[in-house]
Amino acid sequence: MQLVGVRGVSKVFANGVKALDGASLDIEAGEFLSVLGPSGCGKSTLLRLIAGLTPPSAGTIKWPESERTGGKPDLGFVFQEPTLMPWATALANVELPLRLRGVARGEREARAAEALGHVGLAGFERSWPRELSGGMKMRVSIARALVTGPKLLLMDEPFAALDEITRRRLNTDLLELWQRTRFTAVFVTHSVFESVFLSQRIAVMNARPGRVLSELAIPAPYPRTEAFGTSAEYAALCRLASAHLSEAMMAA
Amino acid sequence: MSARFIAPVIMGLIILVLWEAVVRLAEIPPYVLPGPLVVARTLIADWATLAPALWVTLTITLEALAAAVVVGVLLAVLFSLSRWVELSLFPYAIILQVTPIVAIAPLIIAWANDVDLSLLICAWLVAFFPILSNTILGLRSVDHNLLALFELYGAGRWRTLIHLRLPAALPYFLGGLRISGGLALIGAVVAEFVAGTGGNASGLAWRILEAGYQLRIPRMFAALVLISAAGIAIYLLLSLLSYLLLRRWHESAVGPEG
Repeated sequence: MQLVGVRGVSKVFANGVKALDGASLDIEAGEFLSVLGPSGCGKSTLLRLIAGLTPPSAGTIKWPESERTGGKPDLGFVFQEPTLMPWATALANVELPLRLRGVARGEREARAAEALGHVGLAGFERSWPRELSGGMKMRVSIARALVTGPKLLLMDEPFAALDEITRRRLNTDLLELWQRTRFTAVFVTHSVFESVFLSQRIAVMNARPGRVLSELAIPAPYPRTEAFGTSAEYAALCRLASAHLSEAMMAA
Repeated sequence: MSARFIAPVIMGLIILVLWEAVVRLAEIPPYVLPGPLVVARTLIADWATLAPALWVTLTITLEALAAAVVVGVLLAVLFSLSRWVELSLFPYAIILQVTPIVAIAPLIIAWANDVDLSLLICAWLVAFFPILSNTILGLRSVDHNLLALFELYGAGRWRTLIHLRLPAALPYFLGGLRISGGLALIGAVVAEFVAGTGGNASGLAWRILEAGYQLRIPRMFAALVLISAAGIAIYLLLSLLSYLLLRRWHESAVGPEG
């Protein structure tokens, strides 16, 4: 079932920069989709358009189910930086989306604590952001995005600023969380290895103005563990995705 | 507490000892330059006159600072909510700031028709700008991704202000407050000089003028010491407030060892 349909979307910024030019993408409910492309290909812009943070200059973004029910699309957003409020504890940061929606304090705290538990941060409720490591801050950020139980989780290169070891752990934990909760994940990255390890499907974009040039299925079964990351199958898929990316970069 | 506290204290003691020595060795008369011991004795002897004057000046200073906080923060919030209000009013706030207070104090005194009120207005005029400009800067220095997040969850302007802009502006506001605390005292003293009020309800500036007329230079120094002490106390108290409010989360209040 289609969750979001992006059709021929273009985005021209006020300064004249054309970030997207006729990008189309289908997001299926429950899937893990990666958007792979070189820097400046409009991946982040595409996510912000899907989130409704900025309107497209041309084209449409449709949410078939929301249109049927008339509700506002329910989604979570994880930025490249943890983007936490430094004056609030980890728990208060995770509570934020619920607070802004007017959820009562008791329920808010309980749900936020549960979300922190899901990202492996039980016991860190009262910690301040400055006391947490980069990886832990990103976990808080993911907990905040998931605390409302959204259908769609949009992630904009969330682990790009982290070290390799932390990134691997977060990748594995994110997959586990996805399998357990079954939200739809759209993961923007410029890393071939990350996109192959995580996703069922990769949409490859070319550079500015961005367009989805090709799509690639990653048929490997879940749960994907360290063993998958060292398998010949993984290496072959990475080569394939790499070829797609090179092609996209040539097309620019 | 160690070097930070001891170094200035030792420096101060050395200067006081040198001062006393120069005054005694060169036999400088007290009406030209009194030594620190004479000043200290005068401070104690004239305490009955000086203490009420200190109280008057401190009252005006603190009232002006409170008014500066209220008006500065309210205006800053208003400016952040409406671009048009800011565009039309901010230049006038700058004009108020750059006009020397001594130049407009006589006008204010003539208009206000009440000495205490005019002193308060003068001190407030000097004190409110750092709070206004710093708070505006803080309200604008919000992480744009956090703003996007608030938009995503449908928070309106009001809730974005309460939960995001105001907390983000707090360190900037506190920085402005520390500057304004000292300025409010300066404003109060300068306005008193211009007003030149007599009578019972007169502040430290008047005591300095009076002592000058009477060539009671040690008393003048004693009053100066009280003004400086008041300024230092205000600064320390506001620094403490800033530390208490920010120590948990803001880099400025967190020690280097974390």
